[in-house]
Amino acid sequence: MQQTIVTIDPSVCHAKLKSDKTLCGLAYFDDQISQKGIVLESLEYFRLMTFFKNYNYEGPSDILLIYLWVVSAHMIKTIENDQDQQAAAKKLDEIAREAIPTRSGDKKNFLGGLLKETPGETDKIQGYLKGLKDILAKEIIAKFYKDGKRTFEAKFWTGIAKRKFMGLSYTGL
Amino acid sequence: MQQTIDQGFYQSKVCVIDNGTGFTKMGWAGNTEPQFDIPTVVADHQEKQKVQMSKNTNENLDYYIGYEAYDYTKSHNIFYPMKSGIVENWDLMEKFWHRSIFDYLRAEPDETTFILTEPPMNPPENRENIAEIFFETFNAKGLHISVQAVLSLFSSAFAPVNEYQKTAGLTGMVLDSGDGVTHCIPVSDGYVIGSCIKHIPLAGRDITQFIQTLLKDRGENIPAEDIKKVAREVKEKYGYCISDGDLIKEFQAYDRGDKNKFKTYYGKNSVTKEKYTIDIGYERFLGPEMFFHPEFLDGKWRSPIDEIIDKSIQTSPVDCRKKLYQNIILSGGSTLFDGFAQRLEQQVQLRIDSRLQKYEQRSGFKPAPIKVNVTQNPFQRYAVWQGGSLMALQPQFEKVYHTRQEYFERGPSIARYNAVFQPQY
Repeated sequence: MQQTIVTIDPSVCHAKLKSDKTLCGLAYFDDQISQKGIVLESLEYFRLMTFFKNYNYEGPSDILLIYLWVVSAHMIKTIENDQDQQAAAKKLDEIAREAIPTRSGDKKNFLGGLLKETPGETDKIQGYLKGLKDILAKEIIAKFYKDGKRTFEAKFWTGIAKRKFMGLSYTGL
Repeated sequence: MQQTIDQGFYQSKVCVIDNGTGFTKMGWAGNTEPQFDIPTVVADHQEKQKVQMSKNTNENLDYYIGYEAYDYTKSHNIFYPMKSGIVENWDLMEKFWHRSIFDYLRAEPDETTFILTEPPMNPPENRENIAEIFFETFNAKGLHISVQAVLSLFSSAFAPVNEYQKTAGLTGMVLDSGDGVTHCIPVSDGYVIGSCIKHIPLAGRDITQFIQTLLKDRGENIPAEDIKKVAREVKEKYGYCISDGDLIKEFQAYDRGDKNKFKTYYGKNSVTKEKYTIDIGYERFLGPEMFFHPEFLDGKWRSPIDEIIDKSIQTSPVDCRKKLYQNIILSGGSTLFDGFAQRLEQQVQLRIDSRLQKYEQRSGFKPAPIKVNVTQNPFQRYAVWQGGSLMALQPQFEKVYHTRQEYFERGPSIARYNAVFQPQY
C-alpha cells in the first residue's frame, strides 16, 4: 500500500479506479457522475471489495470510495437487527448528521494520513461528505427494506459488512 | 483391453492405496472406483492415562482410523499423519496402514502386491521408509510406488475425450487440487519435470474454512458442532465457478432474482436431531473463485492459477510445451466445481493469445495458434486411484514391481526407483 498523502477534492467527482491486477475484472467507473452516482457505484462494489487483500489507490476519488465503503459497513452493521424501516432510517440519519473531524491527528479520523487538512476548505469538505452520507443512508434503506420490512438479501450484506475493509473501521469520520 | 493379459497374475491380487492429505482412497485393482474413501486421520489412545482402564483393551491396538476416529474425539487424540501430501508421522502412518489392510481391505499381505502413491518431489528416503514398513512389518508380496500425477495421466489416457488426448499418452500438465495443497505438475512421457512444479498451499480445506466464516458472519443458525460438516456439504453440493471472471455481473444476477442462484440447505442437528434450514448465497461462487484470486483466502498468494500453469509450462523444455497446453488434466476433489474446466481453459487461452499477438507485432511473423484443452474426466475425484488400478492390469506391471525377494536381497534402496511405462490401449 502506497502511503501517499492526498486531498479529497470535492470538485473532481469522477471516480476512475485504476485497476491493479488484483482488482482485475472490474470495469472502469463512468466519468463526471453526480454525488448520487458515486454513492450507487460504491454500493455496487461494496460486496466485492472486502475480499481482496491487496490494494493500490491512485487519486482522490479512490480515497473517496474507501471512505464510502467504511461508512457503508458501519451503517449496515448498525441496523443489523432492525426489522422496522422507520427505526432503521432514524439510526442512519443520526450517523449521517455526525460531525466530520478532518484533522489528521484526530483519533476519530480513520482515514489518517490519507486526508490532508486544508485550512480554507474544511467547511466545503464537511458539507460535501455530509451530503454523501445522507444519500448513502437513503440508498441503504431503499435496498434493505421493502414495504417497511427487511428484505432477504439484507443479511448477506450484513455478513459481508462484518469483514474489515483494509483493516479500517469507522471511528467517527 | 488386450486378450493377452495374464489372467493368472491379475487374479493374484493387487491393492491400490492412494494416501492423500485429506482422504485415503483404497481398493482392489481392476475396479473403476475405490472400495473405501476415508479421511486420513488416526485417533490414538491418550498416553496421559497411566492407570490401565480395563484388562481387555490392548494399548497397542487401541486406535481408530477414518470416519470412526471422529466418534472417539473425547477419549482419544486425533492426529493427521500427512501434511501437504507428505507423511509426517511414520508410526501413525504404519498404524493407519495396518488398519486399512487388515480391517478395511481384508487383504493377505503375503499374497498381495501393493501400489502406493506419492506426491511429486517426495524425498527418496520416504520411499525407503514405505518399503521397509510394507516388506518387514506386513511381509507384502510386492510393492510399487508411483507419482500421483502420472497415475492421473494414465487414467485419462484410457478414456480420451478429444483427439489431442488420443495421441498424448503420458504427456500433459496435471492440475491436482486436493484437500491440503494444489499442485501444477508438468509430465513428459511419464517423467515429472521436477524443476517446473508449482504449488499453492491453498485447497479444499481452505475453501471450506472460508465458506464457514461467511456462514457464521451472516448469523445462520447452525449448531456449533455441525458447522464444519455443513460448510463442506455446501461447498460440494452448491459450489460453482462463474464463467467469465466478472464478479460484479454475478452479484447483479443474484440481485435480479435469477433462478438457481440463492439456495436453501436442509440440515439435521447431529446431537438433538432437530431440523433446521439455512440460506446459501454468494459463497457458492466466491469459494471456488479462490483459484483465480487466491488472496480471498490468504493475502500472500496473488497469482491466479492460470498464470501459474502458464509460467510452469513456459519454464518447461521447449519441445513439450505445445503438448502440455493441449493436455491439461484436472485431478483431485477440489477441481470438481461446475464450470471450472471451461473457465480455466478460457483464461489460459487468453494468456497464450495475448502473448502470441505481442510476438506477431514485434516480429512480423504470425505464429501457429495453440489450442488449450482442459479436460475433466468422469472419475476426477478418483483419477489417481483409477490410474493405479489400470496400471495393475498392464502386462508390463508384473515385470516392474519390487518383490519381497529383491527387498531381502538388496535392501530398501530398491524402492528409490520405480519404473514408468506407457499404457497399452
